Amino acid sequence: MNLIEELLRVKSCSVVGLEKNTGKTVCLNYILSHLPAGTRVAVTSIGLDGESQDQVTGTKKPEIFLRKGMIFATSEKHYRQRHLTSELLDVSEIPTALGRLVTARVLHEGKVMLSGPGATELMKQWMRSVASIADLTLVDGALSRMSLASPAVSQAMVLATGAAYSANIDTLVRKTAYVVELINLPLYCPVVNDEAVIEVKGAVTDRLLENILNDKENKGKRLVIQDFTKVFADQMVWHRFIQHIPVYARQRSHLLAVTVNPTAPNGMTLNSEVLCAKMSEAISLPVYDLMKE
Amino acid sequence: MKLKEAISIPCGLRYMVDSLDIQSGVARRMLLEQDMAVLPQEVESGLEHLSRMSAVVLNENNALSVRTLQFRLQGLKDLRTTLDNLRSGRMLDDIELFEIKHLAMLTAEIAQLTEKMDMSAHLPDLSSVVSALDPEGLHIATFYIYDAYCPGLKQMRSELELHPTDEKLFIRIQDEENRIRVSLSAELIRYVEQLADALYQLAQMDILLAKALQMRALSLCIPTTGRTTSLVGMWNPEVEEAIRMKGGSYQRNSISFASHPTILTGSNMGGKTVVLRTVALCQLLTQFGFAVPAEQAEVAVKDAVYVSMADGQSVQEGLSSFAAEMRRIDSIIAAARANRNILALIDEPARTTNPIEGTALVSALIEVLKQTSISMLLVTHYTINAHACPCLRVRGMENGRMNYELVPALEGEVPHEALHIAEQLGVDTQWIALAHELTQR
Repeated sequence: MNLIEELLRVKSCSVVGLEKNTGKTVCLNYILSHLPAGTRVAVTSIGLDGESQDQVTGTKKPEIFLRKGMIFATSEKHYRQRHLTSELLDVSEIPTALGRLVTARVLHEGKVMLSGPGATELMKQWMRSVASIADLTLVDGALSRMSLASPAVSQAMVLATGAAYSANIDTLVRKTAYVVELINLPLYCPVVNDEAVIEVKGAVTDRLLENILNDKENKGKRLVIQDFTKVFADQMVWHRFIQHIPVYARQRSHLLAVTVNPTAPNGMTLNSEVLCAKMSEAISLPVYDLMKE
Repeated sequence: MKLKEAISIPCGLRYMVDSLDIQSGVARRMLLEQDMAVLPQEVESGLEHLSRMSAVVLNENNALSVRTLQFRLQGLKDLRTTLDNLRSGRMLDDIELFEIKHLAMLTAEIAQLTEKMDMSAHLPDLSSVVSALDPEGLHIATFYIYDAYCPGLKQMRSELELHPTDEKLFIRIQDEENRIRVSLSAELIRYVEQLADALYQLAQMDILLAKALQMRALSLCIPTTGRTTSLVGMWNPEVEEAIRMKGGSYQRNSISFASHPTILTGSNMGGKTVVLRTVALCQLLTQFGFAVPAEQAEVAVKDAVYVSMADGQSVQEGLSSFAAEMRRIDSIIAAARANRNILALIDEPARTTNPIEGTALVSALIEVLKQTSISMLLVTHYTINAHACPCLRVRGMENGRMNYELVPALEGEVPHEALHIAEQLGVDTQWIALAHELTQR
């Protein structure tokens, strides 16, 4: 599978789930267990994650399994509860919801819950601090924390989607394809005094898009946004908008792959083969059902 | 008074504290918690330490070592809670043991560095702590319950590698690790005071180094202590920066006063308030062990410093500005009457009331305080019968430029330059012309 090969070409990657139970942790564990031996990898999570029980739906969630030599960062509380032997490398002043951030190296493999820095700046600070001891930094994204998957934090990303996001294959494909489309917005090449550009630094909402569209002055212009995490617009509104005004992003993440979890927390399972086929057709990117791999 | 309270006095002390390049959070917290020294020998000893650190910093040969020391001090963590846990006999966990090992190794490193810099640091020897937490002699500041602590542990861990799902074995390993943590904690409790001392000394070193570097950067001087206060060529760094940003230049001035009320007059915009702020600043800096912004300084150590200035505080407290001022001055009188050795700096008392009663209030205040041994600077625009109190005034407008120099003034001499200055400011000419006419009548 070439996801691992792709990963080895980047310095940092975040794994982001479109919904809880879309298989983000499975995906992370898959990556961790398939990385070639000797890869210097450091892993942490955005805020609270790696709970053994899902906080929202109450379903059992797999823990993060780490092998010897891997570096991880978690909160003081989860460090004390770890199920592995590790050597403490640093206790930083970076706060997490459960105490200070602790960085350690695994000596004997085992499981740990990850709860890393909850803010973009602190995450970047931690990533800089492990840059000299890790070739690849993996970040476990969390529910509705897409902003931390922003290209401002990590170079590449893997998107986890699944039946938990939508129980209808066509809807699931359409909704996922929309997110992929946003991630893959063309990059804006800055031009000095570019007057044919409308630049929006903050959130892009339905209302904003409609206002831009209704202003005749904007005809023939282009819209430049910060990155895909700033878009909160409805799919329909967005698609109507881009037929008139093309949109570019200042920063862009490199989307490596999409993983699907065909099983929803309520037990309903979609046909994995159909789902994967339809999905890869819609997004022209590799799609993996990690449960089957 | 603690430094964290003193920085709210509007004199520029906060600016000086904020511009200190302190490396660790624990040192900054300790600095803010520090009490103002009120005994002359205590103040002198603080300044003596600063003077020695300043010599180290000024020595060109130490330039690299100073930067290394600063970098090392960044690693100083606030271990006070961990040390309290150790002292109370609790079992320390891996994070706490890591912190202690880190502190012990940092102390040794810094001790070596200070020796090279010819700094007389008296850091405790924590080598026994290091060897307890580094049983494999690796000399790296990481930590876990090493295999070397117990032969059985190593064996159990190898077994677990072969049977990673053996829960019972995992629990046996955890029990063994805890047994080791308990014995380590019991061993380390003997060194808890040395560890606390090392933490304190390193934090103090961080503070002192920042003060010495600030002294060099701003060309400050270390004051001497004496019976009177004499500040030669003083300036207020915060005000100076503001003036420099606007493209202007700051005129330094000098002042000296002893234990009696001194009256300060001068035209508007003559920098009288800045003089009060700078005197307060130099007094507080001295007693908190800082260098002062002056070319030469002698400072009389005081029990307390009182500042009465309009600062908008009264609005927050729901008092009228007059009521707030009366209360502030009342507390000054009470302290002076109780024979406390204080410095009071009062900016234009009773200026918000009518000039007849205002003049009476200020004259009476000076009369009352003359009976005490208070050191006081009082700024006023009123004509006061000072009865043998020293009076100073700002030299004032000369050839269209303000001269901020302070010179002795005749008793009751108050400059009449307000209209002239208002003219210079370019305000409505009809208004000023009429005012001129009225003063002539």
